[in-house]
Amino acid sequence: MADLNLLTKAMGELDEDQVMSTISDFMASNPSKEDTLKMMNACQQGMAVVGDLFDSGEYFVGDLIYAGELLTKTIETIKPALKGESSAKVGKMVLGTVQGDLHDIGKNIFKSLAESAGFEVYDLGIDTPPEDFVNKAKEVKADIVGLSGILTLASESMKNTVDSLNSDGLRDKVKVIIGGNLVTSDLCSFVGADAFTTNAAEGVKICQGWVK
Amino acid sequence: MTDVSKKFQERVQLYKDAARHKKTSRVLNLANIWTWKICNSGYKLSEALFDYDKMEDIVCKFHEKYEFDYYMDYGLRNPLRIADTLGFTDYQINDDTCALSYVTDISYMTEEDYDLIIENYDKFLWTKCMPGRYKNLRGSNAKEMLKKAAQELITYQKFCVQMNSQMEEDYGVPLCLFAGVPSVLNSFETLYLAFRGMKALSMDLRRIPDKVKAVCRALGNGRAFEKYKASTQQGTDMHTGPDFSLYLLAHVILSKKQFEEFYWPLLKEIFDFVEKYDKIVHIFNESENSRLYDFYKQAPKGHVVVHFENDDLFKAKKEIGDNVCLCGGMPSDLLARGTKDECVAYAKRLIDELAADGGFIFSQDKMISYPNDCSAANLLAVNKFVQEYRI
Repeated sequence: MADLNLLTKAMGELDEDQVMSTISDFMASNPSKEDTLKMMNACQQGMAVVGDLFDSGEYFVGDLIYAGELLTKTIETIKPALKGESSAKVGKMVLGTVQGDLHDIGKNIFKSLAESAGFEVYDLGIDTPPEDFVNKAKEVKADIVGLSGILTLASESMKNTVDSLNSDGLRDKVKVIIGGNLVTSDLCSFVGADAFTTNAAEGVKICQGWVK
Repeated sequence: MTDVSKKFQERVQLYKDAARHKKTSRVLNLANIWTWKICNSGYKLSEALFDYDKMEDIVCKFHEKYEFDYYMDYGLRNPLRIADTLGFTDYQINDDTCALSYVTDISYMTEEDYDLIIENYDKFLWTKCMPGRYKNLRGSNAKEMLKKAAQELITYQKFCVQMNSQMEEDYGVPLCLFAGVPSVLNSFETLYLAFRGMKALSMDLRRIPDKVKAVCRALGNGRAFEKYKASTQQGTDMHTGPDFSLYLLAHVILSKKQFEEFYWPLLKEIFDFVEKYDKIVHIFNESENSRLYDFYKQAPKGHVVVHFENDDLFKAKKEIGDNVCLCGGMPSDLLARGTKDECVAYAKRLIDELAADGGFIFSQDKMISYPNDCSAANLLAVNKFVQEYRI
């Protein structure tokens, strides 16, 4: 069994070489599902460290992009040893960049952090119409709907999406968080969301608070 | 002197005085208004962006209605006719929502290309980047397409000159900031915007930082800046507001430490240059920038105007207001959804608190682009107030 603390530390320090060599050695040892879940957990704890370092200003957006890629690469490598089993999920989240907006980097950073925090994330991609959010939220019985946008035109699309959740009777069943460069407290009120953030790590903490 | 000439001189002087931190009787009102002016013009976005006559009509009528002192853009920002000729397809125009969107973050270079950029920049540009970006440069008739694009470029440049001249001669408005005054795109911005993209560059900063630094050192502040430096004369140009402009966009991925390592040497060169030659630079800063205030504290006083997007300008005034002239501040949120009275009250607060001792240029905090970014009635009320209010 690999040194889990070392893996968490390497992930937190974004030491790709150390993370990948630890994971490769681990996979070569024909690991059990139980041990693999422990490895996954150690990676997730490393991502929590990344979030803390972002909060403190040590890391910034580029580091979160890098962390997201590193986590994805790690999970893809570990996945075969899980043989279909997955770690326990803390909640279901439907996420997407709203209609008219084609940006996805911020959304993807948030997705990586949310997944590493244990959320099951259904990513609808970019330029997502309100009805797609509504249909997916209904289908998976989502706890949270996350609306992302960069362009100022996303404000109307965010509002239209929340209005659609309302008119379909879903609004009381889901929490809505909006994120992106354009969001403010005023916009949050206008849209009718429950929370807003320009900081992906903070956003995930808000979501964790909702599913406790 | 005609009224138009007087207006022109007053506007140039107001810009210079604000940049120099001199107290002025009123603040300069700079339009951070982009495609929004098309949305309210009666023309479709898809026609205005491809028809320079229509764009001219839009820009002139917009000015006659709102009477800003200064403009970021005269409809010059999206030269899609050139891009279309080259087969650029990574954008969408939606006339129903009046939205122009670019497909974001495409990488037109690989990790290996860093070496080629340093060894032979033109080879990289014409064999890797341009054919990657423009599909019409990949085929057998690439030269023909390039000739057509060059013709479109000349037409576009003529339109830029014409718009800038017309705004000066008919309305007394100095050269706009985009495609008016010279603009500097440094090597880090070029990597981010044109070559590598946000995601790939973020990875490179961690995986191959020395190569990124080497390209930044080799290309510096870019060819346009080198050309500008070579022909520059001592003193600020009294025919324009800023002598040149700079856009900070790529810094949004950088921590303070990374900024110091990768970006600061480039910005420092600009600061040293404007101080040495007594120039004024207008720097547009995307996103929120408070982590960079320590660098702006090193700006030479009287030479740097910083246009912030998401920063709290009242806080910025306290921290860096002694060194740089601040620009921006009017929230698009409020312009879009507030009342006229709320908008005017906020504009008054901005001027009272930021311009009392000089060093402030009034503008919108975000690039106003889409129909619901701003209410026309609110904008008119604010502009009337800013024009008439005396400090």
